[in-house]
Amino acid sequence: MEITFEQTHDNVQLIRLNGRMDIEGTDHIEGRLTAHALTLDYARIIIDLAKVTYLASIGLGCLVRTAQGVERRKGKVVFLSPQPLVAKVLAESGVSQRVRIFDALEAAAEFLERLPQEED
Amino acid sequence: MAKPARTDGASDDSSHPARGTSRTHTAQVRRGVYGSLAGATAWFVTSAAALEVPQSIADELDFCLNELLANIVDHAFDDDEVHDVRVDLTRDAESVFLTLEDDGRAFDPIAGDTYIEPATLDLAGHRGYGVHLVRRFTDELLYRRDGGRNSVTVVKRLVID
Repeated sequence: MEITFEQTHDNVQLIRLNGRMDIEGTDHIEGRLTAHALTLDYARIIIDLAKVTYLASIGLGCLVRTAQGVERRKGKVVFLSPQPLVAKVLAESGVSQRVRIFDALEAAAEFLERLPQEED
Repeated sequence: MAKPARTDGASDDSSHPARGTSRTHTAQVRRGVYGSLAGATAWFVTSAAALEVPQSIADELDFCLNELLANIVDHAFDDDEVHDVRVDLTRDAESVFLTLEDDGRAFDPIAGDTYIEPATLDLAGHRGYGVHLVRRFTDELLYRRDGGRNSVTVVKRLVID
């Protein structure tokens, strides 16, 4: 499992995941994912799932933990372009009701850019 | 005439209710150790292709296999011995059947789905999705406890009524 980080648009970070997010894959990337995502307050993060071929329940838990941690620091996570099996895991667990999913990078970035960057 | 099932090989298993072409694998499982999942996955991918299981159905069965096997690793055993978990993949013209048999403590995945969809992201759990998702990925889920063994069968229909 691979993980890469990019800055895209203003104040929006793009985290790309690639591979099978099973027990082994999740264990491989979770430390770097959370270390990166949970560093800043008001972080705006797109997690690109387009190349995630498989999402086990443990991987789902990792994504939920990450999204929760970011929101607790007043930030926001969205998911990008999950494959059908991954999209079904997100839907049937109810997580897709709580974390926005976008099909296009531009739309995801625009959504995040419109959010307030800091509390008044 | 039915031939006996071979570990990691193909067999015609007439004892299975579906009575079709099948493949069998034995995963050697120890409490808390997930190494058996990779071998089971590799076997499943090869077997599903050999049995010409449609990819979308194979993907969901792969998910069910991994979640059920992980559940066995996590919860089935009170000791640290190695236990054999038998996995059968069978298909006929209408359905595909994935069966896991283990000698762990009784566990009926059909009884009482306690999963509640989170009302907010903050309330979403980090664990406990597996069996719930297996239920949602199956067309039918069968369970039998016999002779101190659990037998769980995931059924996926190939033909839509």
